[in-house]
Amino acid sequence: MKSKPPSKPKTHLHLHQEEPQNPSEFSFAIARIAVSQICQSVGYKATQLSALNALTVVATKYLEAIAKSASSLANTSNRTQSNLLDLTLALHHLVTLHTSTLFSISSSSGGIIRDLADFVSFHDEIPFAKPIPRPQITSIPSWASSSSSSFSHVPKWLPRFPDSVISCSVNERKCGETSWEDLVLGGGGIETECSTSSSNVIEQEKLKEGKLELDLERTGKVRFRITTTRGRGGGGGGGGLRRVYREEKRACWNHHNHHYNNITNNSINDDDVLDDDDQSNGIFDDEGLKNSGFKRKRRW
Amino acid sequence: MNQNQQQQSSDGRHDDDAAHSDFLASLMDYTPTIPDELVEHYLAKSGFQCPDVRLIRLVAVATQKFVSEVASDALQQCKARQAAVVKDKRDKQQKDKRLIFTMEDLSRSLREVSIEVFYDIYMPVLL
Repeated sequence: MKSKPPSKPKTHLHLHQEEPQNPSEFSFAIARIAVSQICQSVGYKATQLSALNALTVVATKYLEAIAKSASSLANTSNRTQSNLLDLTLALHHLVTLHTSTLFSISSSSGGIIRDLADFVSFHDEIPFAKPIPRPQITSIPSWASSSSSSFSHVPKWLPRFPDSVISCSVNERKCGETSWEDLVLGGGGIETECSTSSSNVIEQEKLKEGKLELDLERTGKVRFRITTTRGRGGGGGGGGLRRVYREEKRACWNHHNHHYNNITNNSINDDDVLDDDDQSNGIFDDEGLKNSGFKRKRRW
Repeated sequence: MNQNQQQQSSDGRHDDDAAHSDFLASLMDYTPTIPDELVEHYLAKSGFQCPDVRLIRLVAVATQKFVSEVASDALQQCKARQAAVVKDKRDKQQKDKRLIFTMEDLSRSLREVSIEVFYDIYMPVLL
């Protein structure tokens, strides 16, 4: 349970712990390196790991305590951002808690700053042992430069979508696509997910073909046609993806983004029901409307 | 009397302000051991919002000062214990090489800053 704190130039810290598994462990590991460096600068040559961990926990809690009291002091002054005065007062509160010597606590809170200035001037700089990659400030294009009015609902300060989204056609964006698994397996509520890149469309087609193996054996050939339809029906289909089998084995995508009813197994495998020629686009009507012969005249 | 006291306090404040600004300027030259990003992470975790880097460094320096105080206190405890042992056994040189940061010294020095640390002195035996 003993290991050396990292020393320059080598920083071999042979720990028996595993790699950090989550972000809190990661930040704790970094803090442990810094604390061990401070211990080494004080004069220690070796440390017990449990003692090092305990001191790291104390250091992190100290940081959090400073932050808490400084932010609460700022909040009581109707501010959200803390300034130097908040910080000084918070430090003063903390120092009065943990120092027992009376002479170090001055009546004004500026004494803390003087103590820190003395510390800075007296102690040498100890740079952190590991190299720290500085974040590169890359220019992220924001919506402010975008001129498309279709995205006017997006706040201007947000970064733009990646290019693949914008370059796909408007029709594809507007079509509501659902996962084929849900349709084929007869899922209840179907979620509309707009697949916004052409690769996704290809993947979905592949998925379709995979699921359709049984059907292909039976029917032989499947052809898909993506059309832009307006108006006609879609009451039952709504924003859902509808695949319709006809004698010609044509299938069509329903482009409406409206709320739709559940699509059951029966309606999906209707090879026989949808026979109408006037519905050349193969738009699905729900069962009730179909049976009543209701001709949809509205346009969506 | 009151006016004198008030004048002194206001002068004190001016001095403090000057000291503050000087210190903050000097702080940018000094790199604290605790990296800025780590400090920012822990401060953000507790709700401290500040775009100023100098305040982040101030917090880092304050924490570094605290940790070094605790560590040096523990070192003094360790040396005091070794000195007590040396008087008995006269193995001075051997003991000086092995300054180990132990839980016992740490708990004693943390008690000085009103932090209680509980630790087990028995190691579990792994079969």
